[in-house]
Parts: sequence; structure tokens; C-alpha cells
Amino acid sequence: MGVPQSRTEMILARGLRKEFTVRVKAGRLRRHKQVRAAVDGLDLRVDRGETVGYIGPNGAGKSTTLKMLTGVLTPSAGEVRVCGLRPVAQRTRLALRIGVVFGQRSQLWWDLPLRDSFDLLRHVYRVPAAEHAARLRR
Amino acid sequence: MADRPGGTLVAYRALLGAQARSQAAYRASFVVDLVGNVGATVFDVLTVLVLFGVTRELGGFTLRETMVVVGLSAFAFATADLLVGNIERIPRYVRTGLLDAVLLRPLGALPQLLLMDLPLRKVSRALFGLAVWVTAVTAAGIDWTPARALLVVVAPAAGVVFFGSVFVATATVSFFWIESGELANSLTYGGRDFTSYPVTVYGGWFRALFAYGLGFAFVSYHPALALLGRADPLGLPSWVSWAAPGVAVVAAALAAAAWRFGIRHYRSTGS
Repeated sequence: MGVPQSRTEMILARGLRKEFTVRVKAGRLRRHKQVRAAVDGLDLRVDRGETVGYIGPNGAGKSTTLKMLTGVLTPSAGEVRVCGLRPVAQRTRLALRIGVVFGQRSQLWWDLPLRDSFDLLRHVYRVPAAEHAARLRR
Repeated sequence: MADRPGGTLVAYRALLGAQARSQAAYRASFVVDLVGNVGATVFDVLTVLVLFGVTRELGGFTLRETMVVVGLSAFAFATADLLVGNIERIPRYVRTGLLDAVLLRPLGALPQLLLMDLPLRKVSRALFGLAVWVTAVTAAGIDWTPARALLVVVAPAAGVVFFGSVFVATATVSFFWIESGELANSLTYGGRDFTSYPVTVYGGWFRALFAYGLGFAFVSYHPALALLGRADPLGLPSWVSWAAPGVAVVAAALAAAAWRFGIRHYRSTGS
């Protein structure tokens, strides 16, 4: 697995930017495109063992930042490294090492018992059976 | 955490198993679906039989020859629809956040989406398509050579890959235009209808576009010519009729590129 470039640096963002193109009404039929930055020039460094809160009002760009850190969204500009990996290019390797919870609607399997969902995710994250059983007991 | 080489495959198999159990949870409904789903494919084949009730030839092809085209088209489409067809639900995956969830897991996004929503009820259609294909090939009086014996197996596989690529490539468009389902359908279901007949029945720019611009002639028409040992009535050299597997590989490469492009430009919604 990827060894972090520095021993302690877990998250590193430099000049991170994400912009979306939105269409704004201009008159009855005409719309023009407008580029809006959801995240504009974020610099961030989080070291191993640090606990960090990231707060802001609705629409401030918190989720957008997290989606760039986890490889769901491709940044418009800037650089990101998480655990020394590039989130978009090395998404699956990174996903094995991190945990992410959004207000997520679809992490569980609707038709199956909860225990089965856990068991499935055990396979997805390659957790050994014994370790999985031990964690369930807790 | 070390990733054992088999780990990824085991994970995919677990996803498939979950999908099977999910669907079997409502057993009666599953059986009804299984039976009901044969319908569409049966009608495609019946249409051709009805046409031959009023004519002895279709675009210069006899019933037995046309059935080779129909069988290939029916099997290839039904199987691709079973394996890859649910990708046309991309807009829903975007809305519900399933695409985000899938991107946060350590597996490929496309295989996860396909396996988590695999419509097992469509198995019956694929099996019916296979039966038509086997019957048609047996009845066509093919002059068997080793190359044709190989083609009889490779051509259906190439057809599945080709239709699968069309499904993926057209679904990718909906990363950009969320309500583009109808455009995709014109190419997927339209392509199925197009490949059910010898391309000689179509004319002009329409044939040029679908058959060669988009490549649908290589799903069933050209492999059928090669198997039947017929020269192309439209005058293309005979090696073209053996090109189907190559065309399928190119289509798959283009679809993969389109998918990657779509994922990189995915905008996500909410949290």
C-alpha cells in the first residue's frame, strides 16, 4: 500500500478549487452560463492523529471539499493528497484506507437484514471473517 | 490493509449474491417477472415469422437465413440488457446518492452498479435468445469449417459486448443531460430492432448511419453472411463479414473512454 510521503501528513490540499457552471435566467427565455466556485483556493494540512472540525453554513462547500478529498469529484484546480494518494486517480486504493459517512441514503441494502449489509461491506472492504465477528460482538 | 488478489473477486461475488437474495425475497413476483420478461423477445422473433407469412424473401434473404440474423440479434441484445442494461438508470443513481456511495467504496464504480442492480428476471429472455440462435444455426444448413465453428461462438459474444458498449456509452450522456433517456433508447432498443433484419431491407442514409456509422451491421448481419457463406449483396469484400469481434473491441474501448470521461466530470448532488 502507499506509504505517506511524509510520516505525519495525512491530508494535504493546496489551492484546491471546484467550480460549477450554472445557468442563470436572464429574461424570459434566455439563460446565460455562469461559473461559480463552490470551493475557492483551499489550503489545508491535517497530520496523523489530529482531529479536525470543518464547519460552515449550508452551501459553504464542506461536502464538495470532502468529495474532492475522497475522489468522488475531480477538482477544477489545485492539488490534493490523502494518505499520500491522489484521490481521483487512486480512488479504490484510497477507499480501502478511509471511512466516509455522508448523510448517506444508500449505504445499506434495502431488502436484506442489517446483518447481511454488514457482511457484504465486510467483503467490499476485505475485513477478515474473524475480525468481523469480533467487531460485531462489541 | 493488504489486498489479496482474490479479494476483489470475492467482493464482487458477494454483491451478486446479495442481489440474488434481494430479488428472491419476493418469490412469486420474481417468477411472474421471469415469465413476463420472455414476452418482448418472443414478439421480436414472431414479427419476423409473421412477415415471412406474406413474403418468401426479405431483402434477398430466405426465412432460414433471416433467422440466423434474428437469433444473433435476440441473444446479443437480451444478454447485454441482462448484464449491462440497468446502467440506463444512471440518473436515478445520481439522485439517490447511490453513485456517491459506490464511489466511496474500494471497488470499480461500473461493476458495482451493474452487480447491485442486476435484473435476474431478464435471464429468461437471454435463454430464449440462445434457443433461437441455436435453432437457427442448426436449421440454416451451414457448411461447417473450423473458422465458422469458432465464429458461431465468438459472434454472439461480440454482439453482447457491442450492445453492452452502446448501453454504457449512451448512459454516460446522462451524466451531462440528466433526462437523456430517450436518446439512449433510440440507440439501444432502436439498435435491437435494426439488427433483427438483414441491413439490405433498409435504405439510404438511414442504413449508412446505423449499419456502418454506428456499427450495428456487425452485430448480426455480417456474422450471418460469414456463417452462411454468402457474398455481401451490397458489395463489401468478404473479410468485412469476419470483422465483428474487432468492431466489438473498438466499441468497448470507446465506451470505456466515455465512462471514464463521464465519471471525471460527474457533479454529484447533495450530501
